[in-house]
Amino acid sequence: MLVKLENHKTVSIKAENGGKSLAHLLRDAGMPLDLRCSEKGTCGKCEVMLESGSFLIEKNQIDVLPGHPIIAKACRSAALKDDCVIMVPAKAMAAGGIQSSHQYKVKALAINSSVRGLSAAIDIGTTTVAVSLVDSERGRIIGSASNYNRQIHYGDNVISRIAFADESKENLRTLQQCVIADTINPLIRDICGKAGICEKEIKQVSIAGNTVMTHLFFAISPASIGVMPFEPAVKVFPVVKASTLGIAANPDAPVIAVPAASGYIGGDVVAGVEVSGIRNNSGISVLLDIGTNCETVLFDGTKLFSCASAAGPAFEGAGIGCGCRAAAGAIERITFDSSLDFQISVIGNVQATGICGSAMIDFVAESRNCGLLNEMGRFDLQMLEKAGKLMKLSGGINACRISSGPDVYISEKDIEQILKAKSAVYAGLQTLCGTQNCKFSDITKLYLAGGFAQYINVDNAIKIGMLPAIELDKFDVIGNSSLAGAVLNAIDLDAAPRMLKISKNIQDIVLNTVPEFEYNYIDALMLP
Amino acid sequence: MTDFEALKKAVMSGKRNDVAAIVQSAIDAKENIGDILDKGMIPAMREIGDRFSKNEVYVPELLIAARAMQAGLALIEPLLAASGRKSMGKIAIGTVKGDLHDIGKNLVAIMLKGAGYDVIDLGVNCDVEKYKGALEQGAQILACSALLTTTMPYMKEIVNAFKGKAKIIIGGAPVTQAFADEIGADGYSDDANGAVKLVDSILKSA
Repeated sequence: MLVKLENHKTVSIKAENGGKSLAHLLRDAGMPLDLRCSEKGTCGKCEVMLESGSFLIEKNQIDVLPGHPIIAKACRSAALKDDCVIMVPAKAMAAGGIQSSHQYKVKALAINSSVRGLSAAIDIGTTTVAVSLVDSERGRIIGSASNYNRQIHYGDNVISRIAFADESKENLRTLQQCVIADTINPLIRDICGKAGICEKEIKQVSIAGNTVMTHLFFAISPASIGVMPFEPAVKVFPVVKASTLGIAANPDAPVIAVPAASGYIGGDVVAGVEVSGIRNNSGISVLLDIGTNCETVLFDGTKLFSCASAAGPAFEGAGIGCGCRAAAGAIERITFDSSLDFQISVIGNVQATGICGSAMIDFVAESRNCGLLNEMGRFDLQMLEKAGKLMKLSGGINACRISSGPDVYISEKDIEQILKAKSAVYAGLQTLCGTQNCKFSDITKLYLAGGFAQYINVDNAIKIGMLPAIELDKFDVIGNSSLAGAVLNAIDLDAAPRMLKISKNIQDIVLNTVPEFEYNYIDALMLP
Repeated sequence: MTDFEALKKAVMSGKRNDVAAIVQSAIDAKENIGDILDKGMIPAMREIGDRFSKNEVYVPELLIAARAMQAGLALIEPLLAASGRKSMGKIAIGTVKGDLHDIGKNLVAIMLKGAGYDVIDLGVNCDVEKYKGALEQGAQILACSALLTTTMPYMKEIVNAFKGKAKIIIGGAPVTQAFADEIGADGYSDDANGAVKLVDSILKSA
């Protein structure tokens, strides 16, 4: 089978007589596609162009004649013969060029290390992995790099990874290899190469990640996190040698992990609590890590409470017609008024091909501000029509065209998804505050952790009712605090016992067991 | 005289205090309970459901309308048995074992009630035993919901336990028609109004 890529390259791979889906053939040939719905055929992100030859689509044989190409989902299609020709657009490739973050703020780094030499500090996120190489004696960062987590080929969220890992021991090992051999090791080698350092000089490996990612890193089954009561198999992870995990480091280097507090409050959040310094505050303060899962920690001056709410993947572009991750071609900022003359900025300064989470927030905030959207998230169709921006999608869905060639739009169906996501964030925090009898106005400090929060306009996030309406100077964007925690663990011997204590002292509240959550969620769906 | 048009409008626009007030005054005025349902609540929920299916209304509006509906139903439910109104059919609904995400399940339950059905809400984390209890109470349809890929497989156990004794219908974010076919469920819907239509068609053909 001939595979044409958008950069005019062509690759020839064996079709295997329809035995494997196009998505699997391409993955095995080193061209993984975006399979964020775990090959269920629902997200449409892996669509490719079938140019000629015999294919199986949804188990039906389809013969494609040259000059009459058809678009098909690679996960639901297979090539029957080797003379098939397909074209794979760049946007169908797995998370190519994801904007990932290895920036973070740490209050003060105390250097108190037993390690002579270098440490690799690693943040393992569900979507992205970031590595910093640290001189443990001097507390100096030698280099950092990040890339997407190759486990993404097996599902884009923790639940689909759990389901995949649960199928067999082999799958669990596959996921471990994806994150270590295919993601972490190349990043370590990249940093070492640039710094002229031999990987054997890495004498310690320090990781932080959510509970599921940490389980998969150690190849411990995360199955119990997928069902009630969502308890992890392990919260405090044993120290093992780098060689047993196959990490690119000195074989004897110990691998240490930030402990988890619960199935959904992982080492990444524990690290955030430590590096934000939230426990030094008096009064009510909050740490929010907004992702597919939104983790919220509240400190009331003496105790820590947490909850996790399912924001869903809308802000990562899934389930949104023109949604995409923050990669080249994504609209990342948007401003306009009632004339609907959209001022956009696009990552990589190229033609806009999609819209990412930060711009979705801008769009809704600006639309509400100029009256384009009502409180239920419905368009003023006359305003759209007058500006020549009204589109009618199939099923009669109204949409607003933001840019054309190719059309990038936001539909009312997309707005629905955005409202559900923002409401989960807001209602989670509101419910957690409610359980401790405090109000948003009591919050003295709100730390925003994680990559996504670095790119959003906080004021707009307040305007759409995603973040609480408190003074802007109370917000502190702390970046990748998970990586910061891993760095801290690498250079400060006292950090590990502090984080262990945090992990044991966070009282986790399961939102769905709090009756107010559903009310808060429904209320928060509306736009302020 | 109760203004049924006003009641319909209040349900559809999600004004739960107005719905409760109108229903309460109807009850106080000894209005026929069946009429409150048939002339106000049921047409309102049917209409908003249909508009949802036509992409004229979206989930936020549907949830808000359903909550308003619930405010009225809560007042009517205690009086239903005494009213002698004949049930259109009995459906048991729950979130399957291992899962406690119930906002979607609650929406389907309210819409079924709003469509005139008798609904036994089994709550969350429902195992075969809980559904068995519902079957003994006369449920004709067992509706199962799951939000997680990891809890979805339990639906097969419900199907295995009750196939032939009741109709089993399934739904929830990760659930698909293909999965329903694979486990032998009697029906699947990908949204709340579709679930009402599914129940309509199953009970009509029964």
